[in-house]
Amino acid sequence: MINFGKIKKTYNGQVVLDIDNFSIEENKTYVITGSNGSGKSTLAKIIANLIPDDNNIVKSLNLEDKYLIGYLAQKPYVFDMNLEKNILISNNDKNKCESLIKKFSLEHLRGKSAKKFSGGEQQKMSLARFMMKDYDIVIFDEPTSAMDENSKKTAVDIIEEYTKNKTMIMITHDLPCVEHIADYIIKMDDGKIYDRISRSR
Amino acid sequence: MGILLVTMRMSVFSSVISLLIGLPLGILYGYKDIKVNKFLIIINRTLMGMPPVVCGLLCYLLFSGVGPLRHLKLLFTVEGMIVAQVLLITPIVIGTIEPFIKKLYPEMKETLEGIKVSEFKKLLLIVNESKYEIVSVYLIAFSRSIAEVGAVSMVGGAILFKTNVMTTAIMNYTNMGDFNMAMALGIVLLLISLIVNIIASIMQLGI
Repeated sequence: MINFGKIKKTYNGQVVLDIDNFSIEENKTYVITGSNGSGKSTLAKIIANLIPDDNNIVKSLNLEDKYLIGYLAQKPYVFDMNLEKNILISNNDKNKCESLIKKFSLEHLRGKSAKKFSGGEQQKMSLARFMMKDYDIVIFDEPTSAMDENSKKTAVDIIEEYTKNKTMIMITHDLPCVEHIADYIIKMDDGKIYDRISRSR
Repeated sequence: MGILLVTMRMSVFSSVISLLIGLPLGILYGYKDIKVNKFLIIINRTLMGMPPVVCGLLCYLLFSGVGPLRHLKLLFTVEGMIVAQVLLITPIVIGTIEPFIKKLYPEMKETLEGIKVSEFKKLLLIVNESKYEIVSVYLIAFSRSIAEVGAVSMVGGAILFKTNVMTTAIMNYTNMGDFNMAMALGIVLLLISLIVNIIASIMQLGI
């Protein structure tokens, strides 16, 4: 169990996140959903230690001494390089790169600059790049938002396989697509958690 | 021909050295959000406006027979002119690339920190994403160098067959009333600039 305690975040005098006693169980999958501006991405970034909470509680836990935490942004940056070079940024393992290119059906994109891929193709490539490393805690912020329905289903299957025996937090607006992989569904609004549903997978 | 070779040697060396010094500093100032960088950026922007004759005077005093760096024997040499040019152009290189990096890096930061990329790799990626701008910055450095008169004439002395470059030669011919020669050299200077710009533009298209 990872206990974060009270997580609060204020931007320009406005409280955007205020959660009492936030905790997650190791090796479980949490799907977080809620309206725009409900604080989901802010919570994800705080857990990933990309931004501090108001009291620096998460940083003081020193989670990165114990866990390798990976975070995939809502709009990942795509580098002005080809497919393979973009994926290999994370890790130089060419065999793993090839295997992920095949899994995500990206072979047809070889040779082009990744800047010229469509939004869905860039998102698949970013997921492949992310999966080049083996994280203990995985945080995805809307990882399939730009994909078509078929690609979404494939991506979620790959994510499910990748996150076996890992702790995962996924932010999504498309709950029906991912709820079957969730151990817990957390619903947020106005910076607070108003519902936490336990599911059996 | 001799003037052309001296001009090209001075311009190419000074612009390349300025880029090699200025680019890493510009990237550092742009990508690291620390208080001392804000102060250094203000200093750099002030140096961008340094009058060339002030820089020339400073170098003259340093390299002259009573100066602290007289043992380097750089006064009235092409190498001394290169040093003066580097002092003038490096702040311009830094000041041109820094704002671009300051805008670029926040777009990449979340992605790179999310997948735990090392600091060294981050810097390589920043350079990769700035390739087009780096070529433009080099063109600015080269153009500044080839057009310089004040500092190079003070440090180099415009010595015939030794430190006379095209800009100092144009000035001398104009003073002597030989406007035809001065104009001819001016046209050659512009042609050199044009050729370098064409080569750089072709490189940027490839990028």
